[in-house]
Amino acid sequence: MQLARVIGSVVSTRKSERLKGLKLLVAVPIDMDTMQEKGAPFVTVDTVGAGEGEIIMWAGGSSSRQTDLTTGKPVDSAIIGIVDFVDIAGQRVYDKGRSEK
Amino acid sequence: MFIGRVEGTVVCTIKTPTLEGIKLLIVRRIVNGEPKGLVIAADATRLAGLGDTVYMIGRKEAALMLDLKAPPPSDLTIAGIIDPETL
Amino acid sequence: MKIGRVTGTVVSTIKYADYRGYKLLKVRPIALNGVFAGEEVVALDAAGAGIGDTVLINNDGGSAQLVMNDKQLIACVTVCGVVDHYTYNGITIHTH
Repeated sequence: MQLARVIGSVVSTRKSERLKGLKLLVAVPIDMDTMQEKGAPFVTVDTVGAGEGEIIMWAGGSSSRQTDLTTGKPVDSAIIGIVDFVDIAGQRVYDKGRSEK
Repeated sequence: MFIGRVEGTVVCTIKTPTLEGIKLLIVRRIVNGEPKGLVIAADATRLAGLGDTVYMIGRKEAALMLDLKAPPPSDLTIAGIIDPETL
Repeated sequence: MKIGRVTGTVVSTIKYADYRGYKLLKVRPIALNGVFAGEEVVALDAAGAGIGDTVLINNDGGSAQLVMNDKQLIACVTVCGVVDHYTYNGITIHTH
């Protein structure tokens, strides 16, 4: 799994029948060494009700299809958690409550 | 499987229900003995902690190792802790 | 499958319960000229391999169940053979 920040959404009317009903979000990877955005944005499927600006945890590959919403769907990455805290080497490097104030 | 060292934790209150009760650890990948980037891994041993050197399984097996009947959507799972005295 | 060389063993008291009794090896892929190429991985040993051996690395969960003869096994990487020699560009390379 990796961290990413939600920066937008994608709407597609003409798409695979099996993608219908799924919420597609755009996220940019977060490098955990710096907690800064790093790398190219990507499209991922939301299974937890994530919103713009939130730091999320996502899974890729076939594992992303192991949720109630994505089972049997043509999905290669899914948001599986909204991150509250990140602790590295005993330091709190991210706190959702504090970053939103 | 890949080797890494546990450096931290991630806490998610809102998450896929099947991830409930599963510890999520931040692991520094060690590739050919060299420290590389950080990844998040679910802990199938339930005993891994800060400083432990672990090996992780990826792909579909990462999910199955956590729970065969209701596999959580993990793409990386800690399968074991390497005995520190053997490193 | 890839050809690799066993670089070490992994001793692990705390592990996924189904791995109990299995030997774990550190293996690193090699190019056919014998030089290390790629990332070291941890594999279950199905071939009785030891440090320094040139081996076949299999990277598939279904194959792991077959070579370990365990239909319930959850694994990705296995060492499924020890290489005696291989031929490449018309040259036969004996590995031990």
